[in-house]
Amino acid sequence: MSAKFGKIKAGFLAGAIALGATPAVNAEGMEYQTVTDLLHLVMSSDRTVYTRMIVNRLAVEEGVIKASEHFEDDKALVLPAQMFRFGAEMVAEETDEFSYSLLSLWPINKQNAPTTPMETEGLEYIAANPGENFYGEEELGGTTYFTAVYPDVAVAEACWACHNEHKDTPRTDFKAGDVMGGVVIRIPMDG
Amino acid sequence: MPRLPLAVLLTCPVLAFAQPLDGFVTRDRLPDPENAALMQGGVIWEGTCQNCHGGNKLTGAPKITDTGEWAPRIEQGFDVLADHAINGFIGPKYKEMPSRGGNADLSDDQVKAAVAFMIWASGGAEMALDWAAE
Repeated sequence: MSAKFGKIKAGFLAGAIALGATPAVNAEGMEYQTVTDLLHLVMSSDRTVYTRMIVNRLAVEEGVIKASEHFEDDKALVLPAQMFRFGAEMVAEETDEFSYSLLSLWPINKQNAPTTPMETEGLEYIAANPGENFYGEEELGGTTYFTAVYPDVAVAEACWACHNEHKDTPRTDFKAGDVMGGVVIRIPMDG
Repeated sequence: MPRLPLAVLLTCPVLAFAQPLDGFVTRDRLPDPENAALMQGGVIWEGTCQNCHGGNKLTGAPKITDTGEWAPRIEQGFDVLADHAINGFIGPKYKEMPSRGGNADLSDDQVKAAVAFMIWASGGAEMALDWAAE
């Protein structure tokens, strides 16, 4: 799903995402969609690097440490999804210029279910249209937000195996490459 | 290099996979191999492998028909690729190929057939047909 929305003075985001080769941020600003796409690129790249270079290398290939949902009790690595959530929490403590979260139509933790109609619409869209993102605008509490939803895909056997076997899972047939949820990035447009 | 229309590619077996197909590649976008074993491999590929190897960039899986991605893999030989697919594999950049594509119900021969189909569609027709002839 693609749409042209308004532009954002994205200087603050250029600093936030710290991309040395970021496309020029000019006085006319940057499309909201471009900003969320760039934010998501950084998020997904960092998470993929953690999954491959830390978890796959140390837990799967070398077998020197586990990755566990109960990482403190198990003296283990945090799961890639947990690492992602901790980053989102840290960002929320630092700024209200944008926010992001990892949600699913089939969450193990019910707190990670969609809570707005657009989140539900976006998650349903990316699940039904592999490889595509979802973009829209929604009004929450009197503020209009640009909301983007990106697919979160099962990339490692540990991902779908844990979700399929977890006692709280509402879905047990995930397989490699399936859309398991979505990254929701939200930017207030009224500022 | 200019891209040829799909209709042209599908009528020309030699050139059919000279360029990766655009977008996400589903089984119905690929031609049918004449060989029965490869045809069966295509059925297995659609059921288990397509989800990632159809062009799901987030998984890091090499896309079917992307001969540039597949050439160095095909150079390793069919037995190596089959072993990676059957037993799982962590690649040089720690990308994970799950054992049997995550489908434990597949037999070794079924996995090999799916691998052969993917090789056939990705620049390794000769190797795939050699496997099918065995």
